Amino acid sequence: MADNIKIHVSNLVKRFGNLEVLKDISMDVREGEVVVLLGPSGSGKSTFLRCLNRLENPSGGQIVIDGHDMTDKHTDLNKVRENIGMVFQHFNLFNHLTVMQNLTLAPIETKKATRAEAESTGRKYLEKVGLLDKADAYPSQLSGGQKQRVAIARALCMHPDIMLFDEPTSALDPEMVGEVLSVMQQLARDGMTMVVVTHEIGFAREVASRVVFMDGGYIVEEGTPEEVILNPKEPRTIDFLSKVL
Amino acid sequence: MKKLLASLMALGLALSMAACSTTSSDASEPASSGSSAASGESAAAADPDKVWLIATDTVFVPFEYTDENGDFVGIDVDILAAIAEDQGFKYELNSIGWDGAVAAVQTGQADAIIAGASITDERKESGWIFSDGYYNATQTIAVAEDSTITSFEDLRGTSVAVKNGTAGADYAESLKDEYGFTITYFDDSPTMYQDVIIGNSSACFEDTPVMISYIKQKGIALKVPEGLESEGAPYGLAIMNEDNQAFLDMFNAGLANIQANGTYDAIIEKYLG
Amino acid sequence: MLRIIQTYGTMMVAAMGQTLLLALLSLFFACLLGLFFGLLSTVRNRACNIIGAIYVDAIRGWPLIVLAYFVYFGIPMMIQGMGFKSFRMDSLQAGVIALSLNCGAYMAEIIRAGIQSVDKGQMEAARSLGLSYGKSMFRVVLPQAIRTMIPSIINQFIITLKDTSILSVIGFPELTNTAKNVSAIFGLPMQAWLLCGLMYMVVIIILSKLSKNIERRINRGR
Repeated sequence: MADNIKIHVSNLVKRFGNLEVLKDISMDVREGEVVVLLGPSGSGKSTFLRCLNRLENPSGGQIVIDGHDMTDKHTDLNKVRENIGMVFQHFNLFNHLTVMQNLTLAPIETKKATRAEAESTGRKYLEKVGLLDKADAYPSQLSGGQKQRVAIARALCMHPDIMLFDEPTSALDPEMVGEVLSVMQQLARDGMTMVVVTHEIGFAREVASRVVFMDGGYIVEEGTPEEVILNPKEPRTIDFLSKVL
Repeated sequence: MKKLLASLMALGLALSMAACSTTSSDASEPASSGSSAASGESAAAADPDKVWLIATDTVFVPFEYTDENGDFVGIDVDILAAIAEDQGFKYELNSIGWDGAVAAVQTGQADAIIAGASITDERKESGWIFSDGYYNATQTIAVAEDSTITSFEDLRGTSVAVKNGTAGADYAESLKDEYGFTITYFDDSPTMYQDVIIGNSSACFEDTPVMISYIKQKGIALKVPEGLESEGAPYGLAIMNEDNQAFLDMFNAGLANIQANGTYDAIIEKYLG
Repeated sequence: MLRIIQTYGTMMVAAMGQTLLLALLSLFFACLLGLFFGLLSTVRNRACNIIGAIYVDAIRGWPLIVLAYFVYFGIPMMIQGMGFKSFRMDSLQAGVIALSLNCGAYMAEIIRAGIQSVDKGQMEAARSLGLSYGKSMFRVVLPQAIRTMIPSIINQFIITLKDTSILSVIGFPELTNTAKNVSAIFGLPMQAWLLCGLMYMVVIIILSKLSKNIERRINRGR
């Protein structure tokens, strides 16, 4: 296996009770790749993403991240998760902490950094997302777009080498979508390995190195944005794209 | 059961009124007593059908308790019955527990209490009016069967158990400073005895006849060391409302009669013989 | 009533002190028990959930007075039966155990509900950053849960303070036990109970005001 493969998924199955949400998914993500997952709601995209860092327990198959088998009982999940940043649809900022405390909590608690180091890293990433002036604000004082940028900065503070985005703009007012997407675009340009679940076809076209279309728990079609978005072959992909474009 | 509920409700009502009535009862002068004391007596005398409501404890062996047949019996119960027969009055005896019985009389839900109540100055000062003593009980201690305690001196540094409101409690209080023990108060006799059996308390204080008959009856693992009895204090029936003085007079007269004709001795013999 | 206050006033105040001692000790241990069993009920482990549920159901199903008798007499009897003949348990120890167990069950439910009221995205975000379950719980979820739990906790504290009166049956010299005693000595139950009730009320009103203050201060922090 080539050593620049960051994520290796083979035959992943996920069931909730009798409902099979993911049916035999296999996929590799290489270092620096930006993979965008498209598909109708209920197609299993988010579940797939959440399986990657084991927020959901796979029912079958194998997930290997940076050489760590996530489905192996002996893998220290907490350790691997430090290297996988995740951004949620509903931001999930820690409401009882200030922006800076949100950013420094995990680096300090996991002993990755001293308080001073964590705060300096925090300032660096806040500046990167353009919110340095909000360091002492509480999440409730921020707009949706600001919250999501803080959430991205929070994930970056752990210096992850993979970032997972679970519909990061779906809960935002339209005028705030752009500010979040541009931060993500910048990240992609910096070479971050990213897996993004989104409905933003424009973002997929511009930023994705690969687009994966999922439906009904299967990967229906994958390829470059040109192949999948501009020249889809599968009827289900064509049907979906005709509805969102 | 209905009576119990009624007295509970009265208790609640009385509690709400107690705030304004406390000063007058401290002076042991119920508001209406001055004018109606005399008429109360004549009214009672004129009404032989009046049913006197008497409250008592639930379990105070051998003065009142429920026997193996489910009958409510005891020295208090039999004495009251004998006196009622002698004097020809009607009564209803309600076994509602010590606290409840005292409260019932205080709030007028019952006319009198007969529950092995010791005649004490504190109670008289509070406005209680006692009959002549109908039984003179001595108090003593009981200890665990395997205990080595034989004197009050042996109680030093230990804790003893008593039952709330008993002459045994008074006796323990009178000795605790001299002999250096502490006192734990329980609501009922079985719990008090249990505390001695389990070893939390070194001894319990209670009326001598009460303990001897209880230990014999239940076969519990306690014994009564000899020679530690108090001088004793008389038990009396008590009323609080002076209007009921007529009843007290009947009780005293009847008591004298049954003591004279041997009925009284027969009752005592029946329970303590 | 004046006579009661003159003769036994200091004794009743001392008894109030015993009541508070019993209540505070019990509340402290109840918080620990509640936290432990509340957490057991929320973790993703069936066995833990069941243990948590058994504790809550078993304790809530037992009237406190029965539990008090059982702890005070049953436990020493069992231990003495196992050969430790000199084992003794005083009424304070038994009272604290019974009341902590009882209050702990209610606290466990309050804490479980509080934890479950926090959006589960908070736990997921913390876990996704590499924090352990415990750190996520104690640094992220619980601090937010406590804010919603405070009114219920204060309420439970007041209930527990009043429930100390039930421990009068095992002879612990708290306020109710002393009031019974005073009532019997004087034969004046109405006055003794009134005084006793007023003393509870005053203490509880003071404590409620205090805790309202604390509640306000915690909520102002945001």
